[in-house]
Amino acid sequence: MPVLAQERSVSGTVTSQESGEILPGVNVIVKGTTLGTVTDIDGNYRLSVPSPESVIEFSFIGFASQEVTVGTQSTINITLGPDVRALEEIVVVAYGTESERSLSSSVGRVDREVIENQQLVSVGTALQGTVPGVNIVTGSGQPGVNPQIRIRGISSINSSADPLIVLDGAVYNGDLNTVDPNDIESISVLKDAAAAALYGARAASGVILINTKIGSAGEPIINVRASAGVSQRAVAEYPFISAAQQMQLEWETLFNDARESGDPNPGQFATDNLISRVGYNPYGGVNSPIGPDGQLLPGQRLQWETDWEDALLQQGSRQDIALNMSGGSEKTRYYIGASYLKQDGIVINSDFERFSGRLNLDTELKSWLRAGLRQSISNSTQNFPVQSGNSFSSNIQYIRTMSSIYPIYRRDVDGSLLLDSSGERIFDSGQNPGAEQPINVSRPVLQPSNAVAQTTLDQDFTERFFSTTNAYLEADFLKKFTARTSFTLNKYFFDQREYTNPDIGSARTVDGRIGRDREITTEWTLTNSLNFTTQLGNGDHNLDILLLQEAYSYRFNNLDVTKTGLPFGGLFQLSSASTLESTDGEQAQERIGSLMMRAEYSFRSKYYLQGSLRRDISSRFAPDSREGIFYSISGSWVLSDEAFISDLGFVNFLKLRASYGEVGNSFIVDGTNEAGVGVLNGGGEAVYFPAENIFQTGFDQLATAGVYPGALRNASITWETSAITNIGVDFGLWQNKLTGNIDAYVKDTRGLIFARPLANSLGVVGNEILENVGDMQNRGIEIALSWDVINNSDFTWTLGGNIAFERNEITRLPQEEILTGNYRRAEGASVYDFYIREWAGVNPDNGEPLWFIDSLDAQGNVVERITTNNVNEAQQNRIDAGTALPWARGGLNTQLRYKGIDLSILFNYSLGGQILDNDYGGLMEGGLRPGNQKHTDILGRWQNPGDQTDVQVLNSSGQGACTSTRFLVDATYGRIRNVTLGYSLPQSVIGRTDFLKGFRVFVMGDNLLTFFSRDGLDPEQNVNGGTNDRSSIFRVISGGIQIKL
Amino acid sequence: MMNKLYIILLSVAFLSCEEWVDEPQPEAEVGAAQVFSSVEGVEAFLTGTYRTIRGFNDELVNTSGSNDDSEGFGSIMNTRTVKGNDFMQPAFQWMTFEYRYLARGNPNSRKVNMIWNMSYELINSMNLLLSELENSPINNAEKPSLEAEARAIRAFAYFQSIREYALPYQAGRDNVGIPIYLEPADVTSTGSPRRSVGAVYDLILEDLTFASENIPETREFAWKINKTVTDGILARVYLEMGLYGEAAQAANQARIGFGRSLSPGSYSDGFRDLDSPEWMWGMPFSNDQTAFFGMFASFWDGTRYTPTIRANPTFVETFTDTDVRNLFTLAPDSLYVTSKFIADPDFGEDVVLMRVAEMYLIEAEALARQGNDAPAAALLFELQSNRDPAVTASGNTGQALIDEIMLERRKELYAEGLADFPDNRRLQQAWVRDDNHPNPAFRFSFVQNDYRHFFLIPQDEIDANPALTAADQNPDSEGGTWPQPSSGGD
Repeated sequence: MPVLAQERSVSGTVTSQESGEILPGVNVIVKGTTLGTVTDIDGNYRLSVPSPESVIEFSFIGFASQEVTVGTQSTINITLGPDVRALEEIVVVAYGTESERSLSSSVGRVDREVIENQQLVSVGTALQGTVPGVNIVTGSGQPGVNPQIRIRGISSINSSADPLIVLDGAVYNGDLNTVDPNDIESISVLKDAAAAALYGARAASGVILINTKIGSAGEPIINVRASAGVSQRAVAEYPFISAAQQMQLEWETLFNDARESGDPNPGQFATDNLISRVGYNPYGGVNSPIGPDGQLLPGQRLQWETDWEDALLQQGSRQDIALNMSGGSEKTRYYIGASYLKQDGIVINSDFERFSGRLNLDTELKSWLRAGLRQSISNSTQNFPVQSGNSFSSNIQYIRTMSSIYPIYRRDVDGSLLLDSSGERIFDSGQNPGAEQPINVSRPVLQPSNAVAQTTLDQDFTERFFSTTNAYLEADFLKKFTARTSFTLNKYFFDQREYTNPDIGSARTVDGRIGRDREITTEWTLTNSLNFTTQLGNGDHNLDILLLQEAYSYRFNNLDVTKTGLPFGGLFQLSSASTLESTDGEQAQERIGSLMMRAEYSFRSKYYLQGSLRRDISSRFAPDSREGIFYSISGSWVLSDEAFISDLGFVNFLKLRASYGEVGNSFIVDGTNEAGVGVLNGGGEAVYFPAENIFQTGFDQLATAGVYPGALRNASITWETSAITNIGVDFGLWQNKLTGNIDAYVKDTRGLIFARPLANSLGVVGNEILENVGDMQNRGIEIALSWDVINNSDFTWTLGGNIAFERNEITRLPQEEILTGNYRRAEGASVYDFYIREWAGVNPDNGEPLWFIDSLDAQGNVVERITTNNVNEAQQNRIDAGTALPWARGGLNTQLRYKGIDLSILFNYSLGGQILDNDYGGLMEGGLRPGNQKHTDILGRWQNPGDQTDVQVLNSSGQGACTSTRFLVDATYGRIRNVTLGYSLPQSVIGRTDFLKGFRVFVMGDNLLTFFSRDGLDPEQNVNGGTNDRSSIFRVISGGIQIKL
Repeated sequence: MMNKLYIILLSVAFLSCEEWVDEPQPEAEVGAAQVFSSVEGVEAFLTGTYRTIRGFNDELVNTSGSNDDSEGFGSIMNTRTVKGNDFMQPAFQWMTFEYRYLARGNPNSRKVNMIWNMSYELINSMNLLLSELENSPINNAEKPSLEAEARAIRAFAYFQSIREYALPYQAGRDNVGIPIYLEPADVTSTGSPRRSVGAVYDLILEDLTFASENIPETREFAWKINKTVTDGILARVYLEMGLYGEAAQAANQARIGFGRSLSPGSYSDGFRDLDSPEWMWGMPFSNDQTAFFGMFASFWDGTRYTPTIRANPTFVETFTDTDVRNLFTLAPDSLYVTSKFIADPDFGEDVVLMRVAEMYLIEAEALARQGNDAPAAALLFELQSNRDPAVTASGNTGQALIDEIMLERRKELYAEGLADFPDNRRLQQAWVRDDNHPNPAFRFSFVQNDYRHFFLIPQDEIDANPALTAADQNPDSEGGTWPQPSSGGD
């Protein structure tokens, strides 16, 4: 046969264009025939081809296929380039994956590179500025504190507005900070109902899917990454006045008190009472350093001036080391990861340390049977001194409350340091009973406490251990069916030790206190599924049906013990304490049973239609109201496959999407969910039985046990339901140089669970009742764009940006308005519309603070706005002062690569909204609280009749700092979230070694610059626009190396 | 084969699903049915209610916190004390907002809310108890004593708030009072309007009269209300109302019923023991059941907070050196501190709610105000001579005797929240704070029924109660008018 004569053998090696690595397992096929082979472990192949006209096709997952006509060649070496069809990428979705092409729902993604480039402690932070419509508020400088995450606005008030976290396919209620970012392959954010409906009753606030890495067939890859750096607060503290100014203003306060009361000699009164007012004299001596004329007396010299910020905050360090290995054969793939992280916080003695390990394994047992494992353990420890809120030892509050006229260490009457018998300085708690001094013993501020002593001597130490094990078995049968059983067990141990020293602070009189809280959380999910896939009509019609059954169980146990009575300080174990003070133990449980179905149909990979249905029953609700049915339908149309679009030439890809569906929310919490930060501690207490009126135990009178009613419950309470309509378009233009997507959505939450305030006189515990009382709407537009400005082998430059416009509106309430705290809820208003006094400035005649009130005519109509100096009158005339919520937010990013040098910058921003800066308010209070820290703005206070100023007179009864529009600031801010600069050794250098596959050095900086109108305040406070003396997030600058073996 | 297996597995899973989801139940709590099915259950509810009187807010377990001035009934006692002339907290320390009359005029202040909320929470709890008791399977013979105790607590609660938020009874029955509730709140409850002062006092009297007739004298613990305590509360109420005949009789009944006599030695004990001979009623605390720094004595003892609440030299001068109650020492600020109340290092000191000495004084005052000077003077002297063996009878009669009794109330009951300011308010007296108050800004001068004697209604109440509007708020300026009470039926 002549054929034989023409048959020839071709051989060669296949390598990666990008890395130069050899590629084993590449399919090498003679096009149009069944002839073919795969490359061996060294990337070599040998193949017989029938004729010189034969075309060989080289294909490999993740690489663009190449075709070569054999001709006369006998050696054909091929380098495969990356698959640039970006829109063909695989996206992790609910209970499976989909190609981006077929996606008909709204899913945001964060890839490995974005995660690797940031110095994360908690992975939630990676979503900031990267996925449109996702709002992240970190609100703390304590490493390991999880951020608040809100997807597409605020979907709930008294149910959790935190998204559901799904780790490797199973619901994850553990602390996000236990997940090692190094192990993460991708994060998907499911934003609309079509994407999230399969998570049913827990999906209304969106779903975040975290998937960890797995190896691929071929030579093992070993990655080592290590970095070290320094951290400090990202935003500087408010500017404070000096000790000398503080004493002057204290004197002035007394002077004004006396003058207003008609005292003929107010200066003398102020001088006589100055030291007794503040209790301390930083100038030394028992007499006032300021004379009756208000001038500092001659010869006065400050004996101390305490910089509390310097004493309580630190510059810390960060170390991060990760080692991971991945690889596999044709039948088995694996990933092994191990890492260590240590990060200091901005408050002294605050840190976070984590060890974690992971093993992921997928294997094909038979041609029809597969099994796999995702196993991870993580152990973290955290020193977490109190740094927000108003506890006496809260460090940030301390800095903003305690003025510099109070010393850290005890001083005698003259202002000299007092020493104990061993010559050591003695911490001053501001309350020193038994001290024989007339002054410098009793402080009117935060008594008894000394944050330096307490942060140094006390301990708040938390250890967490988290283990997650997911195992699955998957079988194909009857060709078109796949059955899968998956079981995930999460076990979470939390062990907190709180030690309060016996020498200074709240436990002094009881000789120290030790608290120990141990919590064990067990969570498991069993999922059984059956999948049916078929193709009809020559492959034109694709049908995929999935049936699922799922059982979810959550159990929380804790044991909390407090003992007092230590023989001496520095003993941290319960055994060392003599007296039991309290013991508590509780168990909470939740179970959800679910049935689901999903059907997907596509025609010629051009038209897609999908529907899903889920039924949940939850133990939270009464049997009559606990069933929830959730569903979605969605469709998409790949327009670019139609001739009238493809003929345009510049449109490479264009897809329209539309979806509608309903999802639910059952995470009911007591109190408001914005009280704290974090996923697990979303604020408030989880309510596991919101439908039952119960009596609380433990209301004992000594040994006689007592019970007392708990909150009033509504037996018919049930899920909140969110109906989400989403339309979107995905596109790639000009050879996919410009890609992007645009989404518009309307999310209507019905049966909003709300703690309806009850008249206090009804006497209900907590003065509220949880009910499904309202409707709320979040609507918005999200745009994400990416532009490949330059793309050649030496130089690539990408620009990206996204913006999300959001509007939140309450659409139905059972009553005209609900007033809670500083907010007013009414139809047409947003969930966080401020309703506070309207500041009218300062009366130039007497310096009194003024607020606007309504002036009424005889018929009760408002004639005009007049002013009042009465706080209560102003309270009755509060105004709608606008919303706390921004109208838009998003991010900008750019990546540059020139030869071995890479640079990436990530910037995020938020536009509009307001923060009610009561932290600043406290610093502007004036004379009410002697010795309180003050902002330098207070120096502009009113002093004499005729003064035109916005800062009220200083006196002992003024309430100018009460909540009003005076303290609202525009919440618009921008932040350079991350800058990373790296250099990779070129292949020509690496190729000379026989072990090295890659080597990169890099420096990165997180939170380098913040642009915000209020100095001293971190713009990331709380979704609700409230402040709470929180520590600023930290800036980290690190350098590191990355080695690939 | 696999197919069938899966179908079987799935069906098994679903059949058992409903029951499996049913299983979780509240575990650290109990249902209402359990509480109201037995006398023990109802007793436990009453115990929890006494706990709430002493520890309202303490579920926060604030070992060092931000509401130390608003924990339990003890903080209400201190509030009534610092509003007067005899004691003061001029330094910037807990209770100074009350001293400066700032707390009262801020409708969002802790204290404005705390007294109101605590009273009404107790009222609603007792309404719940009374309503459930009616349908409870408990033997009918055992119900009246339980009902009596619940109604005594309800009356006690109404009596606390009516005096803080409305004009005194003797200013007129028809003045605006506070909302009245006789049924427990449920999901349909909204809120009641302010009723007249008279209507509230009628309810208080009705409750206490029933209680006095049905509550047993015996009790297991001195923190429970028995007949004697009920009569003691009744005596206070009658005195407040100016019904002196009834007041004298109730005080006498309480004093005789209590059975124990005056015991001057208890002044040296630091007022911290529930079993102290003179204590008719008190609140128990222990190291593991405490409000920590929010305890009553934290503001007096000086080991927890300094400066402590100070005594006015004018007041201290009224004591003789030989008086056991003269527990004052001069502080560097030229004011006095008292060692009447001593705090336990472990935060476990008990707090007094009613002492037999007060019954002597109520009876004496009520008699004197009816013109029965001789028995009044005898009772007064019995108390005076018990406290100071060196004292001689004054021989006062008429108004001078009444004045002497009023002074004796201040001296005997000082810092217990019963005399001085509460008496001025009750008797609609104009009064002034003297020049011993260091800061002239707080040397107030009060007119009769001064608006500052009364707290504002909490803003939250006005916001959430559809029966109230801003027009139902108490006056907040001199010459401001009081709203009108609603005449709606109960």
